[in-house]
Amino acid sequence: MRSLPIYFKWLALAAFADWLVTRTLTRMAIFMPKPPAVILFYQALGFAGQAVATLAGLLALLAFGWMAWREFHSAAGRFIPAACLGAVSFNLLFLYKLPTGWLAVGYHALLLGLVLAIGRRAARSTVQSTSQKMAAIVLTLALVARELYQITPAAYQAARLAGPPAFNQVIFLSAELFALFSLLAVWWAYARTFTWKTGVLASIPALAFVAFHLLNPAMLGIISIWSTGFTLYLPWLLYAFGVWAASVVIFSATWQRSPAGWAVLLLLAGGLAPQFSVQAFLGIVALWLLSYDQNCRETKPGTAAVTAAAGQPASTG
Amino acid sequence: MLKRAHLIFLLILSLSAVLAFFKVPLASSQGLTLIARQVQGELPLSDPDSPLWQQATALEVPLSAQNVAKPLLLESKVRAITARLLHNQAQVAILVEWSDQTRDESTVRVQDFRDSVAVQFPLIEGQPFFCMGQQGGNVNIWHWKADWQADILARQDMENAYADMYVDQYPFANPPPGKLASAADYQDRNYLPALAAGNLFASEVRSTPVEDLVAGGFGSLTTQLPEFQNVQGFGAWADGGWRVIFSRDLSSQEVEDISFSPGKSYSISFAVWDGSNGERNGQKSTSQWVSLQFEGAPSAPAVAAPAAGSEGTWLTKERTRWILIGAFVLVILAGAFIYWRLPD
Repeated sequence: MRSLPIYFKWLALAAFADWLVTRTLTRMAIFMPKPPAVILFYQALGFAGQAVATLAGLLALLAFGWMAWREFHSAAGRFIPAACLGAVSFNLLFLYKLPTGWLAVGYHALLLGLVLAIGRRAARSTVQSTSQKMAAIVLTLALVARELYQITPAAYQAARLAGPPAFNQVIFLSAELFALFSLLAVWWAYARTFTWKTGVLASIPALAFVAFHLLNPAMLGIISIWSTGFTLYLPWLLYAFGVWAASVVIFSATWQRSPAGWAVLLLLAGGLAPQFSVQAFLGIVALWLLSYDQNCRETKPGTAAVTAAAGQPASTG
Repeated sequence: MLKRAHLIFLLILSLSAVLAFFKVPLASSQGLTLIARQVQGELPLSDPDSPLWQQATALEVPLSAQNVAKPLLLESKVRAITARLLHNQAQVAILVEWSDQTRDESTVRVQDFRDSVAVQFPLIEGQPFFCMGQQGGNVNIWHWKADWQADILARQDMENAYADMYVDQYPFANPPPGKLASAADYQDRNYLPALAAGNLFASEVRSTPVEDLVAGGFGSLTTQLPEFQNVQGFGAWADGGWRVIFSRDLSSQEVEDISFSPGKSYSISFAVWDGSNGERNGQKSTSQWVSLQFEGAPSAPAVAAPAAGSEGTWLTKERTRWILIGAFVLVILAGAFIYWRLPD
């Protein structure tokens, strides 16, 4: 963690703030009565959200640039840095040209390849524990399913097939299943031993989720889809446990200075069904962060022990 | 003490503020895009089985229950629709398909509600709120109704629901004894105020099953005037599902209508009502905005005339923007110089 640039932390915080403001709080405003003071407050909140979303976007592009630079100087090959730069280039191109046709297919294929390359490296790690490798693999599966969900209709469009692909809904639901399990896997790998204070603190958002579900499940479903893309089709207790597990990782990692907490924040901010390219990048940065300690060992043997130790949780160290 | 990290953060923060102020996007759309395929010849305006539709790739669009404004729909029965678009540079046709086991095409009885589907387009740059737009962000809505479709074949009335009904008398009209009075039975149309006022709901003959509307937020939905109702439609129910076609000329001169051009991008969203589930008004299943791209070469833009009063003004808006951007670049360069002079 010490060798990670500070702007990864800024990215995690900015992305989380963007998610909280622009995709959760401002969207909840539609449920409130709106006297002029509330409208003024939400106009200010909306502008702040735009600013923080731009900040998160800028930092995400910088993070991809840094990942490319870091990977370029490692022994891991040239595909990951090339794919990182390619993804940034596609992102800039699509600001001026709508992503359609084979260009869109190529972009999603590039992201899919990047996810697979990072996931493959994490799975073959000789530094990380088995549970950490499993967490990275489950997260890789979630991101692969997410990309497949987007690349399949894009390929149908490009090939001018009548469609729609019948199995796309299955892919999306698989992505939700893997995304939920990846939170649990990250918790198991990085924070399954925690202090009672952490457990109690993490219970607050989980209990809020349970209360919301019991009071108004329909509205919770809407907010969940708008906010994170989760459709809540699985048993609600699993989601409540997922919220608790993610909170434990965030709180534990904050105190242990582990990048796992940043990764979970980025996963939450990226969401299951990204509407914008930057949100798709956040999930990839999260996966890369979970395999980051290994990078250090492979490229900087002298500093690997320090870095790896900083990233290890109490339970696995 | 100012460190390099602090300076970098300040520079990134200020760059973000400038980009946000000038609304320069950094993220491209990741969502799905619906392509309006360009074809030659006549569009299949009333034939959902036409092989021409197979040239357009269908996009499956997820729907969710409308839980924003009362009356709410707590559980959606229709979870997704598929949509295809065709255009021939003169007209556009949209085919919307969804699964619905019941065919609800009558609203004669008060306990009956119709099946229907609507498509919506923003009338501003960007995307207003996806539920009926917002203040300053109007939307054009095309609403196909199953009962209006059935009315085209034969206008439905109380007799259709209650075949043995008997009417004692109608004031101001003289229908045959026991029969319902039709509009023709009234010599003075002022006794039919909705018809006299041009209310589409009261019209004697349906020319289209689609209502052309405009909205700018909840509670602002307004039917366009009868002479501006220019959207055609066709719907057919078969094998547990509806297939509905919307069609209109690509361009429209009316300010409350969306106009399309080949080669350009728009946004579209969908809403579906399942009558047998009691869905009506705000109780519906809605989608988010979906990007819509029209195939074909864009037509040459007209040369804009200079705005009145702009002659002689050196400090135009465009120049002001470039001056600000130039100033910002200077700040970045100065920051970079300071960066190298600071400790880590």
